[in-house]
Amino acid sequence: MAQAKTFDNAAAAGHITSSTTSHRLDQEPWYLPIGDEVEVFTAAYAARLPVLLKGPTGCGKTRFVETMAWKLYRDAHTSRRVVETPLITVACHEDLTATDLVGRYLLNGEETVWADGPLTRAVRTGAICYLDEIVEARKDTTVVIHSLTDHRRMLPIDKKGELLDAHADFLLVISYNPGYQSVLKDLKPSTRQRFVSLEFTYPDVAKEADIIAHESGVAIQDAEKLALIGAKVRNLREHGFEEGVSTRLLIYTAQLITGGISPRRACDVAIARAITDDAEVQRAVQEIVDVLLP
Amino acid sequence: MTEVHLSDAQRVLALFTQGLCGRYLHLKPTDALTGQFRPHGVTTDGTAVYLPPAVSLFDNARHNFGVYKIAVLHQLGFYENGTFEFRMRDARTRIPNLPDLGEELSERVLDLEHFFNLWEVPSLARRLFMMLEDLRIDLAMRVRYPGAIADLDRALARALTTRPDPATLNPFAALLEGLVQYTLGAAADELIDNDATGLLRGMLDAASSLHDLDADVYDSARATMVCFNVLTHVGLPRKTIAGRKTGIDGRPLSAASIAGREGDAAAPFDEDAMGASPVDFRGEVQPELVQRQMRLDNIIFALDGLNATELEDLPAEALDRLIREHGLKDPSAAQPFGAPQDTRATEGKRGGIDGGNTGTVDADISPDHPSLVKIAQQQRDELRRFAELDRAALRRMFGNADAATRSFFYDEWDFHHQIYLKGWCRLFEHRLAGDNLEFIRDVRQRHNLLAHKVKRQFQAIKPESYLRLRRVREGDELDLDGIIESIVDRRAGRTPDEHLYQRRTKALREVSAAFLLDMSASTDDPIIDPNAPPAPPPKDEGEDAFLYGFWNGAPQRAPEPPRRRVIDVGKEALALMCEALETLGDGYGVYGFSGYGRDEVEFYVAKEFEERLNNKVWSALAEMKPRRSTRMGPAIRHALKKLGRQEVRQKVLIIVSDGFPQDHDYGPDRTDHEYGIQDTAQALREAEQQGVHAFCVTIDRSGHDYLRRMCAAHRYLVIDEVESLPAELSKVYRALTA
Repeated sequence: MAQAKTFDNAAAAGHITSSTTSHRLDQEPWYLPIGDEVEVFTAAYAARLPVLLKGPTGCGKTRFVETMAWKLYRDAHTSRRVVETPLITVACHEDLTATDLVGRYLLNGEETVWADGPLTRAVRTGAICYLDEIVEARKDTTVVIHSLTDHRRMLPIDKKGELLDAHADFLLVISYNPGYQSVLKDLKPSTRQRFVSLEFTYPDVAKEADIIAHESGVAIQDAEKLALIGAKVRNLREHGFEEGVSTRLLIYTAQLITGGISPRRACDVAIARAITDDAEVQRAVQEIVDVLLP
Repeated sequence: MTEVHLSDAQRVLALFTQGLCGRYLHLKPTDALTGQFRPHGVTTDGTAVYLPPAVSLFDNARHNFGVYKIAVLHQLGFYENGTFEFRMRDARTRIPNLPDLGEELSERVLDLEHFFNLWEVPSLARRLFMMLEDLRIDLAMRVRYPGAIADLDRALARALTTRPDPATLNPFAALLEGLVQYTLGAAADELIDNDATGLLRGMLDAASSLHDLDADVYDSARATMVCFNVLTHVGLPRKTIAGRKTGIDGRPLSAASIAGREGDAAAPFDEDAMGASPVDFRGEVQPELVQRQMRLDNIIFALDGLNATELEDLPAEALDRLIREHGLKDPSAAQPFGAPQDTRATEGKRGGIDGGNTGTVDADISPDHPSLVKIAQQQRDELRRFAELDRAALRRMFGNADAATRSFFYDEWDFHHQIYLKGWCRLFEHRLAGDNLEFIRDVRQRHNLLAHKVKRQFQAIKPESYLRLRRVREGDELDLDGIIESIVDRRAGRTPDEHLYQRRTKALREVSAAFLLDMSASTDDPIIDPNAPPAPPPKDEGEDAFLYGFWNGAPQRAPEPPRRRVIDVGKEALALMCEALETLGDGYGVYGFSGYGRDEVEFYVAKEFEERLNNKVWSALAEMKPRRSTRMGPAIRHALKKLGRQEVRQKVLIIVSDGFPQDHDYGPDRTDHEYGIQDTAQALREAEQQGVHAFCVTIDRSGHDYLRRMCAAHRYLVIDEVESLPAELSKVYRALTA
C-alpha cells in the first residue's frame, strides 16, 4: 500500500512527529469487512458522530480507518477531495498531553511561533483525526476531546485564547483496547458516551486466511493453516500474554514464509516468540504449530 | 535422561491442549484415579485427560514427549469426532438391523451404555467399539493434525512390535488381536493370510469402512455389530467357574437384556480370555462414563440457573422461559469441548417427571402461575436427583479426583534430605464466588472510621501524580529561567543552552501485592469482643484435628449473634486493604489457602491482579471460610507464580495466618512441625530470589517461636489482639512498599 508519510510542520517538537502520521491516501487501502462496520461508519460520518473503535491489537482498526478515510475523501465526488491529508493519526502514549494535540509556541530565532498540533490541523482542514489507544494519553487530553465531540464541535486553544470551530468535514475517531488496559487506564463513561462504538474482533478462520493471503501473497492453503494456528493460539490468552496472536503477526509470518523461511521457523519467530517470553508457553505454541502444520 | 515426566511436561501439554480444544482441560496422572476404574495408561473422564506419570518408550526425549502429544490428541479426538455424541435414536436410523430388546431408553442408562447392552456381552461390545473408534480417531488425527503423523507412525510401529502373534492365541483371542493389529496399521492381507479361522476378513472389511474420511461414530457402531457377530460364530470364551454376571458399571444385567440367551451358553463370558491388551498411547476409555459426566455437567449448569432464582417470585412468563431454558431441554451451553447440541438429554427427560415431563410442559403451558412454579420445582428436584445419581456413579468409577478445578504441581523442600521433592504437591485453584454483599456492608459499617483513616494514610503515600521537570530540551511549556539565561548567553556571545522547556511527567508507583489468607480450620475460632455483652458459649463442634492455635485453650465466650471468628477479622482486614489499595492504584490479588494432604492443597481466588474491585470480589471475599489444614509452601509458591507474571518493579507477598504451617502429611511425622516450617521457609527464600518481598502476619502469640525460624526478623509481625489486624495490616503494607 503506497501511503506517503509526511512529517508534521511542527518538526521541532520531536515527540509530536514520532507519533503522528498524516495520510495523503493516494491509493485505496485493502480492507475486508467483517460485519457492517463500513455501513455504520459511513452513517456515523454523515451525521458527524464521533466513532470509538474497540478491539485487540492488530485486528485491523487502523486499516479500517484508512479505508473509511479513502472512501469518504477520495472515492466520493465531493468537495472533500481537496483535503490534502484526509487522515491524521496520533499514536497516543503516556506522555502525550493536550498541548501535544492542540499545539504550542516554539522558539524560532528571537521570537516564539505558534505551531498547530495534529488535532488542531485536522479541525482546521476538515480531516479525520484518529487518536490511537486514547487511554494511554494523559487525562488532560479528554478536555479537548469533550468539546469537540458534542454539539459544540469546537476546540479551545488555551494558549492562544482562541476557540476554534471545527471544519464541517472534521471527524474524531478514537480507538482503545479494553483487553490489556489496567484498572487505572479505562475510558471514563463521560468520554465513552460521546462516541458510537464499533467493536472489532479477530476475523473467523476463512476471512482471516483471505486477509493473510492477500497481504502476504502466500498460497491460500498456507494462509488457512496460519489462520487456524492463530485461532488455536488465541485459546491460550491469559497465559503469559494478554492478547491473542494478532492478524498482523500472522501476516508477518506469511511474509516470512514467502521470503523463503520454513513455515515452522516463521511461526516460531513471528508467533511463538513474539507473543510471550514465557518459555513454556512458547513451547506449547510451538507444539500447536508443529501438529497443525504438515 | 530420555524419560519424560508428566510433572515436567504438564504445563506445556496443558497449554497445548487448551490451545487446540479451546478450553482448559485438566491433565492428570492416571494414578489420580482412585475409583473402580483403573485404566491402562491413558483415559478421559469428560473433564480431564489422564496420562501416565512418565514415558520412556523411546531413547529420545523428543519422541517420548511425542507420545504424550499423540496420547492427548487421541483423547481429544474422541471429543472432536463425536464419540460421546452417540445417540441411540440416530443409531437406529443409521443401522436398521441393530438388535432390539424392546427396552425403552431411561435416564438410568445412557445411549452408549444402552448400545453396549444390546449385546450378549456388553464389555466385549465396548471393547470392539473402542478398538474401531481408536482406528477412526487416529485416521482423523492424520487429517486434522498432519504435523503429528510422524509421532503417530512411530508410536503405532512400536506398538505393533509389542503385540503377540495371533497364531499363538485361541481363535477368539486371535481374531480380536488381528483386529487390534489392523487398527495399528498392520497390512490386512498378511493378517488375513495368517488367520486360521477364516473369519478375520469379515471383521477387517467392516473396519476398513472407517478409512472413509466421512466415517462417523455410527460407522464404528455398525462395524462393532459385524465384528461381534463374527466373534459369536467362533464361540465366546466361557468361564468354567460360574461367576456373577454383571453389567458395565457393576450392576447386575437386567433380566430383559439377557433373556432368551441364557439357553445357548450357561457359563458367563470369560473376560480374561479376551486378550488384546490396550495400546499404550490409546489407553482405555469407558465412553458411557464420559457421556454420564457430560450429562452431569449439563444438569449442573441447568441447576445453577434454577437455584439462582426464587421461583415463586417470578412472573409467569419469566418462569415459563426459565423452564424452557434451564430444563434439560437445552443443555448446549454446558457442553464440554464445544460439542454440538445434546439431543439425548431431551429423551432422558421424557418419562422422567411422571405425568409432567417437558414434552407436556411445552403443550400445557398455561398462564396459571402456581402450576408453573410447581413444574419448575419438580424439574429442579428431578435434576437434583439425576445429578446425585450421576455423581455417585462417576465417583464409584473414577474415585474422588477433584474434577472441576485446575490443578498445579509444586515441588516441596524436604529438609531432612535437603532435596526438592519433584511435583510433590498438587494444588487445586478454586474460584470463590457467592452473592453475599452483606459482608462488605458490615465491614464498611464496623470499620467506618478505620477505613477513612487507612485511606487517608494511603493517600499520603500516593506519589504526586505529576512531577514538574524543569530545564529539559523538549516539553509542553517554556521555562522562563532557561530562556532568560539563553538570551543572556547569546548576547554575551556564548553558545546558549538548549534546555529551554519544562514538562510535567507522571510519577508511577509500580507495586503489585498478593495477599494470602490462611483458611485453616482453626480460623473458625471465636474471638472475644471486649465491648460485647457476655454470651452463651459457642456450640460444640467436636474435636477438630486442625486446631493448633492458641485460641484452643480455655473455653471461649463469644458474642452472639453473629459469632465473630478469626477468619472474619482476616477477611475484614483484606476488604479494608482492597478499598485502600484502590486509592493507591497498586495492583493486588487476594487469595486464601487450605487443603488436606499433599494431593489436595486448596488455593482460593477472591481477586486476581487484573480484576477490578467490584461486587464479585466482595462476595468472593465473603465466601472465605475456615477449611482444613495449613500447607503454606505450595500456596506461597502458587502466589509467587501469579506475582511472577506481574510486570512491576516491586512485588510484595503478605501472608496472614493464625498458626504455624501444618498438614497431616507435612513431613514424615505429623507431630513434626519442623518439616512444614522448613518448607515454608524455603518457599519464602524462593520469594526473595524472585525479587518478591514476603511478609508474614500471624495472630498467634506463640508465633515468635517458629516465625523466627521461617523468616528474617523484619519480615514478620505477631499480632496480639486479633482486632488490631486491619490497622496493623495497612501499616505493614505501607512499610513494605514505601
